[in-house]
Parts: sequence; structure tokens; C-alpha cells
Amino acid sequence: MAKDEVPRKELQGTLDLLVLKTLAHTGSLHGYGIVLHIQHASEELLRVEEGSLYPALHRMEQSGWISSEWALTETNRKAKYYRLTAAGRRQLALSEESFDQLVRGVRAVLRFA
Amino acid sequence: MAFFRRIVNLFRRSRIDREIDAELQSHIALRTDDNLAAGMSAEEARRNALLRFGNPTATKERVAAVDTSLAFGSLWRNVRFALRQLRRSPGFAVTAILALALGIGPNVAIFSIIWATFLAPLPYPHADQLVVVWTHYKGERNPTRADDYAQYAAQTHSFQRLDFESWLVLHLTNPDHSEDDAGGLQVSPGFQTKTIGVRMALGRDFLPDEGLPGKDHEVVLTHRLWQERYHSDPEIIGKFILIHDEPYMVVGVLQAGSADRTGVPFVTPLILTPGAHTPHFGNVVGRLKPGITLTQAQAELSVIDRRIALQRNSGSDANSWSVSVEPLKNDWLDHKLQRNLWLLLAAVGLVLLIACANVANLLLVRGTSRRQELALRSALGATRGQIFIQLLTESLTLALVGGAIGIGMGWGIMKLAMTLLPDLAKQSAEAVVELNIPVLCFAVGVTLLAGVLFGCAPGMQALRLNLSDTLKQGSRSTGGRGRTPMQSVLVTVEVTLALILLSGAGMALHSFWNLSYIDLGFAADHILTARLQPRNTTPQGGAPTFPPPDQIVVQQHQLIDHMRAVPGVADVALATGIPMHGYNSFPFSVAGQPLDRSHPPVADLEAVTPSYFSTFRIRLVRGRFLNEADRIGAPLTVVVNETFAHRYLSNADPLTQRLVMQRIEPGNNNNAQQVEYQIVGVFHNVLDNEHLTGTPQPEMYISLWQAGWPYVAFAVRTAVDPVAIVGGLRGAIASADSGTAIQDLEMMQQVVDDQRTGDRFEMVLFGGFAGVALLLAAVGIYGVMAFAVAQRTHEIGVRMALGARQGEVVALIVRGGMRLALVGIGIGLAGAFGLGRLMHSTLYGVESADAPSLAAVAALLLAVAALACWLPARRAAAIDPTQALRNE
Repeated sequence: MAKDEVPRKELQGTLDLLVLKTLAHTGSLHGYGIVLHIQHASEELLRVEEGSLYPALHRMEQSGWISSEWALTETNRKAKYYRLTAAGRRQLALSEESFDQLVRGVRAVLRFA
Repeated sequence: MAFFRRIVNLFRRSRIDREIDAELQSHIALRTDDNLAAGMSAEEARRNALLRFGNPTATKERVAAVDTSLAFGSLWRNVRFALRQLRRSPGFAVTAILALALGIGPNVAIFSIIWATFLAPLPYPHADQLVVVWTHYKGERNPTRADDYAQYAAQTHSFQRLDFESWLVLHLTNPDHSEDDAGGLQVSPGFQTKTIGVRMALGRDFLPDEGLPGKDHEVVLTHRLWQERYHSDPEIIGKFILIHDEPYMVVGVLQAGSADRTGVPFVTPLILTPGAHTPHFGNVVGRLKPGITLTQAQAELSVIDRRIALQRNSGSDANSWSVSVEPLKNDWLDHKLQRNLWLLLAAVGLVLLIACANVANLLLVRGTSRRQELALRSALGATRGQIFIQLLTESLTLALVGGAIGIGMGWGIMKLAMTLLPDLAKQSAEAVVELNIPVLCFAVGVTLLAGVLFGCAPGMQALRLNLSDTLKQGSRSTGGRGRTPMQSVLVTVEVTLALILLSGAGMALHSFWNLSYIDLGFAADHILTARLQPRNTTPQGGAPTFPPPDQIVVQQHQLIDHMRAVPGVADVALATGIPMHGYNSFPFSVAGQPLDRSHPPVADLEAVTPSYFSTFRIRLVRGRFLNEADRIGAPLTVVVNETFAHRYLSNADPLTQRLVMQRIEPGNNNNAQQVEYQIVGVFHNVLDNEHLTGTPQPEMYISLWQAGWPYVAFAVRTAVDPVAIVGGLRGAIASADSGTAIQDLEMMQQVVDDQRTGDRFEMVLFGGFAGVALLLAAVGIYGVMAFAVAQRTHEIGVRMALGARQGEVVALIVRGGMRLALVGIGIGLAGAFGLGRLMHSTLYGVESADAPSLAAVAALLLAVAALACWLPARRAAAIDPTQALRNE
């Protein structure tokens, strides 16, 4: 693992948030695209472990946060595209808020420490 | 919905697998494309893509695992975990499983009897269409007149078939030429196979015209008669058997089953034509047309019945008659027995509750020692819900293992109960008591209910668990009273329920005790009785004729001589009636006293031989018994019982009184002359009532040697086992008069014992279940106290280090436990009073608040509770203070 990458463990709880946010941003995207997007958007700080992305996608789909359909990529390959549902949008709002709180809390502590 | 989708996914595994596969492959392909675009060689690009992705198979499994863990996976994991937990603490597991089996077994047994007796649909096709048409007279059920039936059948449109069955005592000659009087059933042709739906084992049912004069000598045998008397002769169809000395052709044999259990050996046909009068009474059974309701059928029959009643009774009495259509079911069971069965079901319900309380307690104790584990789990991220579900799964696993053993135990109890209650099978012909699907469903339902009941206790305890406290405390004991309030409540409930059950058993025992010591007024052991039926006296159609009385007396003397000669016979008596077979109400007057003609005094009149008194060992109170000198020509004499003397002769010396009554003459009921009988003795009351608990009736015994009455019963006192001389007696009776048939051969002791069957059933089962309850309650108290002592080891060590003596420590512990027991007993006594009111009508000589049995069971329970407290208390007192403190 590269030094400048945030350790995987820290990422676990926020993976859902990142995926939801990505889909909210891009509208519809396949798994590989999500990996790339997170990597780019985080200025290469965050790297999603590809093995854990798909279980997470499947779980979110089963929970009704995202829906999926098969479509062709611009390079003419078949891929499964994911899209946010209304429930997913609600979930995103909740996750963003709690993440904000976490960040604010940690920041506050860091200032004092 | 989501849960449903996950489950569906589990079953669509292969399709989902393919889809995941495709998605992962597409991911790798996209990455490879990008790598190629970045300038890698084709091989390198693919290798890099695969490397970055990791093991695709593992990923696929992890995706699939999402479904499994979301649905069943967790359940299965919990069950496996539960089984592992049980294996790890076998002592706990065995105790809990045994307690549950003891709680569930009796429920299965009693429910199987109740199901078969009250609830099960009759084992006939479309049993819901089968109805009984009851005639009611002044609101009471009454058999129906055959004439009425014929009119119903001719006029109704509600029934597919409407049939008539009537009972008739007929003489049956067996293949070995012995004769029995058998209760035969006469039915309208087609009743068995077409209306009820019974199948024939051999041959056929009656044809529609069989039963008309000239075609009525056909018979259908029950399977049992065919098996027992005709050795299952496969060639029986077309053969003739003798009924009432007339040949009847066997046309069919019914299939084994309900017909056998009614005790009717054979069926003959009966056709009733409207208009032609027949004297029969019987039951009307019908099969409704599809779609016709009971109410519709009843409305139609009521109109028809009203018309008939008006024709017949041209007046006021017509209003007393009514008709009802009711479903055919087992509702002719003895009321007391019905009540007992429901009471027993309630009792076993209580046993199960106690068992549940017990297991809940064990689980709570274990839950305390598992606090660490649960706290750790929740620290590692298990939600409260998950922990609750896991604990509930453990409880249900425990319940199912206990339930499986309980079902086996229930089968055993059921078999035992059936041997205690042989009459049950006879009384309800359709009832087949067995472990069938409905009973098993009940057992599983009860098991799951029990699992949830006791499983909630540790679950709730775990929900209240304070994480940081528990982890902080480490293994240190919690101090305080050493038991949770929930445990105290459970123990109190156990004691309460156990006391209620014990009181039920105590009252049943008390009642049975009373019954066993009822004064019969005679010695029932070694006595064989039967009625004798002189055959020639009832030619069909004509009036019976009799030889003159002195000739009858001579014949009866000869009969006695023949019977006395049988080896093993000690004494022989003949009489018009035998004890415990009912009484009559014969009008009489006391000579010299004014007679109220509208309400003459009545008493039971029997004619007996002088040997009657010695045979039954009746006790003399005053004067003398009848003897051989009281014969035809001698002054007429009578002896009366104490009740008679008390009721009718209270202000005179009975031995100076004479009774005036009609002379009994066979065939002459109305115009016999009034004669006077001198009272020569008073004897101690002999129970004449069919019921052990019946009130004594006034009785008058006159000498059979002065009466010359042809219809008699005999009683034989034997020096050996009565069964052994039956053959000899039959021979002796046949040699005295070959035309005499023997009816209702009985062992007197058996008659008495049969009377107590229901009470013995109630007592043994109630007693057994109460014993189980007592055991469970004792284990419950012991468990909680032992646990409390273990928890308080440190505290006790401190107390003893500070100078507390052993006796004080024991008292401390015992006091704590006995407080719970006393509260439980107090509440239980109130419950016992309620149970007493429910049971009162089934008990004999027992008050609804039966002080002796209540005191006894309360004392018993208290003693057991004290023992259960004392054992752990003694262990507490043996604690070495230094050791206990070092444990810290």
C-alpha cells in the first residue's frame, strides 16, 4: 500500500458514503467507473479495494439504496450500471451528516490536543 | 420485501452467480482496456488488472454471502453456536432439557386424549354432513319414535339420506352352542355404508328391500364378532347363524374400527313404512345434502314434526315436543370424565409453565456467568437485537430438543393413561387415541411457545446489560442479594403453580380415599353375578306364560343344587336384584297406619333366597334374616334395611310391624291381591345404587321361596378365583335347564372397581403431574439458592471473618429462600381454592376448600422448599473465610 493512501481500515465505514456520493454526482456508473471516480476525486488519496466494492454494491442494492441495469460502455463492453434510488438519496443525506459530525468532532479534538 | 428478495436470491443462486461473474469480468476487462491505453502490453495489462482485483472467486463468494448473512445465514450460525454452547455445559443442558421434556410430555399425552375424544373430526367421509336428529321432550333429549322417523324420511328434502337405528337385546347362539344375550343394532338398510361411510370387510351391506317382512332374516357381523366367535371364517358369507333361535343369513362383515368399539356384535335390517305402526324407539342419523345447513334442516324438520305432534296429541302436550338437528359427535361421554379431561389439560399446562419458569431461571443463572461474553460481543459490534435473537435461538434450540424427548415421554404417558381408563375407548366409539399429525402439531406449537416464553427472560436480561460496567467489573462477583428480581418472581411463580397442582392432587386423593372406604354393606370380593333369562317365557308375539309359583321354586332349588355342586363354589344365592344394579319403587303401607292413596310410601322390593345374606355377607342389625322356613304356606315375612326402619318405622319397634303390599305374580301387574308381610329383621344398608356415591334407598327383601318369581339373577361366592369356575357354572346351569341363557356375567369386585375408574384416573394422573411439579419447583428453588450462595461467597466470607457463626449463615440463606416459598404458597392457596371450586362436582366427600389436603400439600411443599434451601445453605456455612476472601 502506498504511503499517501488512507489505510483501508479507515475507509470501511465510509465506503457506502463514497459510493452513494459518487452515484449522486455522476448519475449512473459501473463498478469500475466508481473505483476510478473515487480515486480521481480524492486526488489519489483514497483507493477503493476492488474486492470489497462489489459486496458493498450488492448489499446496497439489496437494501434498496441503488438499482442496476446492464448497458454498454463507451468502449462497447457490457457493464452493470448503478443508479441512486430515492431511498439511497435519503441514506446519502444521513451519511453525509453523520460524517460531517465525525469530522467536526475529530477536528475539534485535534485543535485542543 | 427486502427480506423476501434475499430469500428468493438464495434460491436463484446459479443465475445470480452468473450475473456477479459477468460483472466482475466486465470490471477486469475495463481495467485491461485502460492499461492497454496507458501503453502496457496485452499480457501485462491483463495481469495487472487481475492483480489489482484480487481473487475473483473470493469476491464472488463475498457478494453472495451478503444474501446469506442477510437471511438465513445468521439463523443457522446461531443454531450451530447454540448447540456448541449446550455441549459445552452438559449439566445445564441435561437439566433444562429434562425439565422441558417433563413439561411437554404430559401435555402431549392429555392433548392426544382430548383431541381424539372431543376435537377430532369423525373418521368418515364428509363427516361435517353427518347429523343426529334429536327429539326433545320438555327440553330433554329423547329417543325418537320409529313412526315419527318414517314420516320425517318421507317428507324431508334436506337430507341425502336419513336413517334410523334402534337397539334390541337378542339371543345369539354361538358356534359352540353357548348362548349370549347380545345388544343387536337394527338399522334402516344402507345406514352403515351409505350414510355413515363405513366399509365392508366382506360381503355387502343390506339391500334397500331387506328388512321388509319375509326378507328381514339377514345379518351383518361386526369385525370383532367375526374374529372372536367365527375365527375370521373367510367363507362366512351366505352361512346362517341363530338369532332368537331363528336362522339369519350372514350377508356381510363390517370393517374393523368404530363399530367394534360400540360393543354391538351384529346388525340386522329394519324398514319402517309410514302409516304402519311400529313400537320402536331409536336414534335418527342423517347425511345432509351438500349446501344445506343445520339451521335449514332443523327448520324443515320442525315444521314436519309440529304437524306430527298436533296429529298425535290433539292438544296441549304437543308443545312439549320439539326436534333439533345436531352435528354427529362424541358428546355422550360421561360429564365427569369430560370435566376431568379438561381439568387435566389445565393441570399439564401448569406443569409446562413451571418447567418454563425453571428453565428461564437456569438460563438467567447462566446468563449471569455469560455476561462477559455478551458484553464482549456487543463491544465488538453486535447490536442488542442480534444478541436478543441469538439468545432466543439458543432457547428455541433447547426447547426443540426437550420437545422431541417430551413427545416420546408423552406417548408413554398416553399409553399408561389409556390403561387406567379402559372405558374411554368403549364410551366414544370414534375416538382413536394416538400420536397423529394434529397432536404432533400441538406438541411443536407448545414447544415453540415454551421456547419463546422462557427464552425471553435471558434476552431481556441481556438487553439491560450495561456494557462498560460489566467489562470493568471483570470476574468479580456483583454482591448484593445475589439474585435478580426476575429470578425471585420466577421461583415464587413456580411455588405458586406447584401448590395449585398439589392441591388438585390432594383433593383427588382425598376423594378416592373416601370412595375406597364407602360402606357398601356387603363384601364384593370373590363374587360372581349374572342374570338368568328363561327363554321359553317370551315367545315372539304371544303373551308369556309361566308355571305355577311352587313349580318355579322347585326348579330354582334344583338350579341352586346344581350350581353348589361345582367345585370352588362356596355359596349360591338367587335374587330378583343384586347390589349396585339399581332399585325399584314398590308401593306399600304399614299395617294399621292410614294410607295416603295419592302418594303411597315406596321402597325397593327384592325377592331373595335365604342364602343371599350369607353370600353377600350382609350384616344383621335386629331380629333375624330370612331362612328356609320362610316358604310357601308359611306366614309371609320380610326384612328391611336401616334406612327403611329409620324413614318409615321411626316411632315403633320394626319387628312388631307388618307391611301391606301387592303380591308379586309373574304376568299379573294390576289385579294381584294385597297381602301382609311380618317384619322379622332389620339389616345394615346394602348399596343398591349403580353409583358408589348414591344415597341409600329404603329396601324390603322378601323370600324368593315365598314368591315364585321366574326372572332372577344369581350370585356365587367362590372359594377360588371367580374366573376359574365360569365354565363349570355354565355347565351346571345348562344341565339344570338347557333353555336358560346367562346375561351380564360380572365379577362384583370389578363392578365396584369400575365405579372408581374415573376417580382413580383423576387421582393417578393429577398425582403424577403434581409430583413432576413438585420436583421441578424443588429444582428451581435449589438452583436459585445455590446460585445465590455462589454469588455471595465473598460476602459470606466477610461475615464469617467478622464472627458470624455457621448457624447464622445457614439461617440467613434459608430465610431468603423460604420468604419466596411462603409468598408462593400464600398465592397458591388462593389459586387452590379456585381449583377446588372447579373440581368440586367431580369429587366425593371433599369440600371446595378442602382443609386437610390443603394443609398437607402446603406442609409438603414447605418441607421440600426448606430442603432445597438448606442444601446450598450448608455449603455456604462450610465456606472457609480466608479462602473466600482470597478469591477476590
